[in-house]
Amino acid sequence: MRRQIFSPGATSNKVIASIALVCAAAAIAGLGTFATFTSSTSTSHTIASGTLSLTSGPTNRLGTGASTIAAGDSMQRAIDLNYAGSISFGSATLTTSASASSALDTDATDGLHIAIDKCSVAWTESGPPYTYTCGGSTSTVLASSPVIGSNVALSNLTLTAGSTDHLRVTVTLPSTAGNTFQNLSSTVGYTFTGVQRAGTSQ
Amino acid sequence: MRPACSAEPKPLRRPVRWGAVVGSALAAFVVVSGALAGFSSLTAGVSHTIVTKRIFLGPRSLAAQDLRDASSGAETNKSDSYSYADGTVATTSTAIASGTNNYVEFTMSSARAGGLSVSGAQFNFRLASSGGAQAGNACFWFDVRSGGTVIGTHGSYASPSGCSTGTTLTTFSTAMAEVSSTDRANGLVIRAYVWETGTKVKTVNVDLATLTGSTPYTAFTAYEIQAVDDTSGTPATAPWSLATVDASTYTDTTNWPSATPATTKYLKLTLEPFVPTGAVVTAVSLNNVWHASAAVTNGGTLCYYLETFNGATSLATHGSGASPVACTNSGTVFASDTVSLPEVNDVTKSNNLVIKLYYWLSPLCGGGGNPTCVKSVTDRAVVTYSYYLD
Repeated sequence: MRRQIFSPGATSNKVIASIALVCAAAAIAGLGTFATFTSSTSTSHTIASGTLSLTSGPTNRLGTGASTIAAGDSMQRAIDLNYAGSISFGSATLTTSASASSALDTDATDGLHIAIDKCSVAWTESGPPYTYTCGGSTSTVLASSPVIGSNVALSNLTLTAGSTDHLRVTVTLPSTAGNTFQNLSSTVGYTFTGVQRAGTSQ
Repeated sequence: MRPACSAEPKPLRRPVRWGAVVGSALAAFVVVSGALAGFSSLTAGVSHTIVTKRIFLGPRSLAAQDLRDASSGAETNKSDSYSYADGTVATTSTAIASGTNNYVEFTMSSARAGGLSVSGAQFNFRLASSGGAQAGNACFWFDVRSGGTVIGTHGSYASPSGCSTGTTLTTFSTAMAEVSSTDRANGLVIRAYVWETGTKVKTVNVDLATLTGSTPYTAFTAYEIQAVDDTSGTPATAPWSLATVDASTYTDTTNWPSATPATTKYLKLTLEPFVPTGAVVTAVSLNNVWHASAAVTNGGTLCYYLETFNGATSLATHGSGASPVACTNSGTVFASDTVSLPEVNDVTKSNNLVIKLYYWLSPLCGGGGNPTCVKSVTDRAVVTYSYYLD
């Protein structure tokens, strides 16, 4: 019968060996992820990552507020979204928040509502007060919904690198807003976020 | 030589296992993080401010409380007895002593824009004993009701809100902090428990019952549109005759002239100021609900036209002696005419609005074969103002 021998030195070696084994596995996995950046052939090529850039303008009326609106009133503001980088976007969302808040932005039923539509060409502006007509075709980017939302998905955007979407933001105070909505003020901030397209073979 | 496989003691096996677990988790995290990473871009910092009107556009209706009857050619004051401290009093139906819990009750108009705060609300009540042998003083306390609920009580039989001395009419203004919004002020009901302190109890004369206060934009006086006298224990309702379509009407004092109207013979309505300074007046109209005091026979009709004034300055006429606003031959069926008054297009004209209604019998009245001359019966004379305040 073989005796089991307790050896402090041998145990330490096993611990070190175990950790080394795990780290090696992690390193191999990591190397697998970056494998495309290396080459084992005699020829060489350069792989450069693209850029993703979402900007607004030149049309951007979204910073223009509205005063003394009443129930049933709406305000239209145009904004161009530019996909300025070299990589197309896969999706875009809108997050809105109120820095100065009132029932206008907290009442999801009778408070302000937002809708966004897109024109295939630049909107034709008149006013102020600003209104817009589309000389091309229109499509709905965001159906009417409460003005405050987080990461609200936007539809029907072009999202293609180098292109521009011409958007019209319509903010409405529903006609159901009663007298409690008199003499209120809210400041609403808008953040458009785009996420890159899915990875493809290059 | 094959190494010996040794069984490690528990204190050392545990760290080994934890080391493996942590290492594996770390490796997995690194790999997954790398797989989920992606580019994103945002455009931010765009904001705007939206402000609503201080008063939304809406129609607000006001009955004429000040009515002057010049059907005879000379004006007589036929105004609501509770609306002004003018010595024109309403006397309770019954002599009333302390502790009966009987009352006179006033429902105030609803002319003010809703949703506004109210400060300094007061009930202004002017009363006195009707006097007579062994008469005393007139006292009262009151409660305040809104939406069918008592929202405030002021005084009691033991501690009256006010007592006038003898037959001298005295005004008592009592603060009502509970009337803190126009939503409460509109249609407010004030129930005044009045009594007379004489050794022989008397009736009480009431000269004034109004609600005053201020919104952030204007001071206001609200007048009663309905009074209830319950001093007998049986409530008797008496709406202001020009405020609502009901059984309470006003019949002028003298038959109207024949054939042509006279500029000296009219009913004059004076509207109270209540449109806030800075408001935009978009529409004003008069609703006149009326008929003849008796059927107009033999092909005749009772007709009228009207004239608007900014105080004493004429603004416009609507209709004329040749082209009346409306005519009727009915002595029972009310005609309801709504006349647009586009000339009343700002706050000043709204707050100083006076309307004269000139009636006459057409083609003529009196004499053999002609219609009998008649009076007019007015059930409602209300002006509706549509305005907003930016």
